[in-house]
Amino acid sequence: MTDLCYEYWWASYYGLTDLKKCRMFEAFGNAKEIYLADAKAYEGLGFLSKEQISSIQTSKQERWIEKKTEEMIAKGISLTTLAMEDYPKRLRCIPDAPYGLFYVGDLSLTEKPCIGMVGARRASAYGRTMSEHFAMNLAAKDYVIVSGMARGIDGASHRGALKANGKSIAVLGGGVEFCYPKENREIYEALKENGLVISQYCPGTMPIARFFPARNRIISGLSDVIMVMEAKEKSGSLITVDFALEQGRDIYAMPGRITDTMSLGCNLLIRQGAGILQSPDLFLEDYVPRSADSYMEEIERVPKHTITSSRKTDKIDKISTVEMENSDNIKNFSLEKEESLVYSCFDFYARSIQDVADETGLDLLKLISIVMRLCELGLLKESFKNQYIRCK
Amino acid sequence: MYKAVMSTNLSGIESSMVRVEADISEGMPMFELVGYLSSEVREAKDRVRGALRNSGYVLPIKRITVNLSPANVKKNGSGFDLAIAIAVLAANGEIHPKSLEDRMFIGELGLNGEVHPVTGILPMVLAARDAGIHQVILPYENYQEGLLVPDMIIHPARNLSQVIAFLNEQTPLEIPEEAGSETMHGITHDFAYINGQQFLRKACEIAVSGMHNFLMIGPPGAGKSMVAKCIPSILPPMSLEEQLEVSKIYSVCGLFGENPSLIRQRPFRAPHHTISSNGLAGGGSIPHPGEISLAHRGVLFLDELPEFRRETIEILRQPLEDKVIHVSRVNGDFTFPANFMLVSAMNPCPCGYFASADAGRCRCTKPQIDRYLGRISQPLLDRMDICVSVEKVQYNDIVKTGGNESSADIRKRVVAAQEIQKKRFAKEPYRFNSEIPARDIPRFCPLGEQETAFMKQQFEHLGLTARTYHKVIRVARTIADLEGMEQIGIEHLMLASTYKSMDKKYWEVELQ
Repeated sequence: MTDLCYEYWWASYYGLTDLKKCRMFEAFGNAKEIYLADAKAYEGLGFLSKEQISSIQTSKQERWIEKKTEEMIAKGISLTTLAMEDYPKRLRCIPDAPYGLFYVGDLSLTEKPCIGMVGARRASAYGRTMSEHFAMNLAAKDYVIVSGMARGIDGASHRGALKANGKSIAVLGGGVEFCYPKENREIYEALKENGLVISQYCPGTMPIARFFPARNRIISGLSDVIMVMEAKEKSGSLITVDFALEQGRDIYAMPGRITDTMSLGCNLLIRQGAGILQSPDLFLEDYVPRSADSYMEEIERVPKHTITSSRKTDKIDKISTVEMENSDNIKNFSLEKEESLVYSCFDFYARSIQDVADETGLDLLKLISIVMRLCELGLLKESFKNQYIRCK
Repeated sequence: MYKAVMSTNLSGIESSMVRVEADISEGMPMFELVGYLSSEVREAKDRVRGALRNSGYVLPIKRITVNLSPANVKKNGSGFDLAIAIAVLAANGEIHPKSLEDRMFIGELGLNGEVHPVTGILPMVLAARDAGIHQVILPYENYQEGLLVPDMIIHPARNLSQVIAFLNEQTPLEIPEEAGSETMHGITHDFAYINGQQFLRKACEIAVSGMHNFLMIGPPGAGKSMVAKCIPSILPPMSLEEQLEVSKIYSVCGLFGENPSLIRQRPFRAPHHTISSNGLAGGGSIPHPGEISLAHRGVLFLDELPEFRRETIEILRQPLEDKVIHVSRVNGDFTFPANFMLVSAMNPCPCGYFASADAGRCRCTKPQIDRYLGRISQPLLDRMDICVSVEKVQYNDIVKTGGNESSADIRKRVVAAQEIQKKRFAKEPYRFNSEIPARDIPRFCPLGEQETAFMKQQFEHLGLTARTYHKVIRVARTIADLEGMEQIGIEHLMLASTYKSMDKKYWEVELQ
């Protein structure tokens, strides 16, 4: 058996928690040593039960492991483990790092400044549009967007990053050869080519819902900060926040209207001290990219730090407000009076034509021709039947 | 001796003439009935025998043969009894042969000689008229219905003795009293009671004007069903020709009730979603018209569209295109008219709040929504010319009283728009904008340069299919007609394209 086979064996062994796997790795030095060690050596560690030891022993099926490793290579999937040099440094520093990571794509992306974006699967048009907007702007500035490729916010974030020709990492809750959900096939293909698809689960693992929390811990582990784009009061995204806090990552949340249940979780996070996401530029003001190596140095000193870090939220950024005013002027310049009236009625939350007709009191034919023109100019788009949102 | 009288056989909603021939000859005494009969016609033998005996006539102890000709057409129904009895009596020399000329007999007999009503009188009398017969003797209760056909002399009969006396001695028959003044079906729903929903009201008006199929999507309580119930109040009146067409169907189904009169109002049918495919399309071993035929020239309203069984609503696809439905059974193929306007309502997801103002309340998962939408096929959605998403009513609108346009006013515009269509399609086999075939669209819906450019852009941006593209133009034609404009303008196309048919893409984007 080659070294890779041993590594594959230990990475794809799920009979122990990640924490115990890491401790065994620390005790023995690498997977080969673990494999070659006998039951006595295991007992000597003191934290393994009899059942666990016998289960490890029965998993040592040489022919089968070799076959599986070959299959993995044939599928174009690579493996990195704690024993290897290229294992993502940020992840190496979290308390229960997965022993092995299976991936397709460019693993070196994990060493760049990474930003995790999470949020509801059933997101509103507002959440999706803004996620795409943030991801696009940040990816254009060479930040790597990390997300889970799920529906809703995750998908929108990846899509935004790809639109800007930026880099993005998808952390999956199953084998990396499975595209889940199917709707995001284009993202999946694009990331395999021009990004990174990564998972702690060995090839052949079907994506199951109970794997997803563990997946979330990798998203936060790979990232410098976590952005919560949209979350209900009891949202799965808040699990990611808990992991992120444990791992000492900064949390940012995008505010929503206080009456909006879809943003309740985000607003609560802000209340608890999370950073507020007002615009990509303002975020970058606060955010100091950290090199992956700095985590390695820190781990020796302070293992944990809390959510509060210096932030300049009270500072009004002159440049960006000026920019905003300018862009507003440009918009209004080309619009006629009624057009800008109608445009001002629309929002990043979807509104129906009926609502706007009631508010403006315009004749239906007139209103619709204005809406159509605004769509043509790319200022509005139809988000659902007869409902429109702003694009800009 | 041989004698023949005329009667009629109902098949589907059309009636054809039948000669009832009776022959009495020497031989073994028996009463035989032939001519491809269904069991209810075969039983006529015993009813006739009883009715004759109790009316004071005894069948001769001879060989009696009755044939219903043409013998290759299946005979259904109990309406032949009277004709058989009269034919037997005539063959026996009890009735003057001269009195049988130019007369047709319809009616079921009781054993005591009473004449009982039958269904389908209207098409039967129409068939008599077409065959050049001028007098019809039919059951007393069916008198009013028989009178619906102009230029016919109708003789109502209470019992067999009356008929014989009438034929032999010209004893006048008792004419039922003219039914009291026609009770108009009170229309309780009026657009005047619908507050707000300007966008939806406009859609209804357009849909009715051009007889476009119409789908409403929205959360529960938005007023979809209420608006649908108001639609009959803006439907234009029917022409006499249409009234007869519709009345025929109702006659066959026995839906005339106590006081038959021509159906003057366009039908509005709202079957419950538990309806079977046969109930909707028409069926039975002797096919009966279904709800889609009862809605002929009117409106078929399907509330909660996805709750209908999938195979039931998919049946609609063919009649929506062909305007008729073919039902094939052992007893033959039947064609029922089914030229209706489909109005339907649905929620966007099982709970109903998906993508609405209350989207936060929606807890439906993607598979649930997929299953829900899966019950309606895209081809069916494509057949909806107008689709509108309905939002819940705002508080200000709920408490508002008055100030809404009434149905009568809307109806005036609808009638005007239909007049324009009538003139336009005078030489065509179709009557409404929704029926313009694709090949005639350039002729009736010419587009200017600006309009063509707009449609090109819409086609490319919205990914329209050829079918939806034409639908948008047809709807725009109706909008222009409502405005009294000769030429379709760009704003008409814009409104039409906001009303364009629903696409499952909307859900996909929202669920991505």
